[in-house]
Amino acid sequence: MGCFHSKICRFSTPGYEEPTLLAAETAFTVSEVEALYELFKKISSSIIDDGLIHKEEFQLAIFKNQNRKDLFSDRIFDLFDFKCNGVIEFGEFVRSLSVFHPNAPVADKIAFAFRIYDLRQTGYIEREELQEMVLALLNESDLILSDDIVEMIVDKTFDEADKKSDGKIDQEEWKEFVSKNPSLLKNMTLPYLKDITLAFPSFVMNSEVEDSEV
Amino acid sequence: MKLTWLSAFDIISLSPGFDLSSLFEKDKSHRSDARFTTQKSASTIVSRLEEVASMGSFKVKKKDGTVKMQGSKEGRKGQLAIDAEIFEITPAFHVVQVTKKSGDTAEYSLH
Repeated sequence: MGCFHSKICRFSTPGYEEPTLLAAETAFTVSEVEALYELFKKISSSIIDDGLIHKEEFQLAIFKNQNRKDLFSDRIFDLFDFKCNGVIEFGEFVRSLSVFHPNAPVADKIAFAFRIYDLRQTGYIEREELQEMVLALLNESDLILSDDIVEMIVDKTFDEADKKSDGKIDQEEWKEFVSKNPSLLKNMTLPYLKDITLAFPSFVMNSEVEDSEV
Repeated sequence: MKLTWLSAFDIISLSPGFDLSSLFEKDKSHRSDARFTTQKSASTIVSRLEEVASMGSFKVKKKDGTVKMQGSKEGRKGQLAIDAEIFEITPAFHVVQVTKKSGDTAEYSLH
């Protein structure tokens, strides 16, 4: 097999996993994984061409500005980087994006969203964390709300979600809250993932794999 | 009109850092929605939208917190259809999200 289509041979890149394996373990088909590889190559070579997505490259892809970041992009980067080695490898990229696929189980989306919001990874979403996130959002948007209103919104949200009234939202309470407010999962589905093969046609000439849709 | 109340989590989900669709989009200039806040009451917002709609000869339909406007003139890309969804943060503070449903906004200019 040649490495003619990439400066970095995919087989020597750390974290590279075979498309057939990834397709078997995620919501993607083999050709969708191949298409994701094209996207991955683009993002992972944008600043440092080493077959890995560094934080600045992730920020560049999301904000079109490598120096821009926020609380949420940081959380998402850390969750994608489940080996916690500071970079997103191809396998991690595909497995994490799988949760955002329209066909991925809703339970996975609910759990992932919970982990994004659990800033300090205590297993609970505490009131201070929720307040911190609202303030972070206000900081970066043109939405201006007074401290009173912020407090009122956080209080009201907590009243609705924290059924056990223990000052924190656990996974069970979160699941119930989401079932009553399904629009909260809107960011957890990327419809584009279903059409990814159209945007990134794979140029692998000698793919031996038969693309069979289960 | 029954409005959706925005929880703290809804507000947070407005963050661009949370929106992974940017990984796939080359640029956001073709984004067809806009969001703004207002300290007017819901009924004032609806009246203002209806006023704008009548100036552009739009048909207006109200449903579940959304004011749906459809242009009557047939343009290059069909009739212009716009949804303005009103969310309540407090009774005196609302967020309006305007989304283009169809048509070509270049043919119209809305305030």
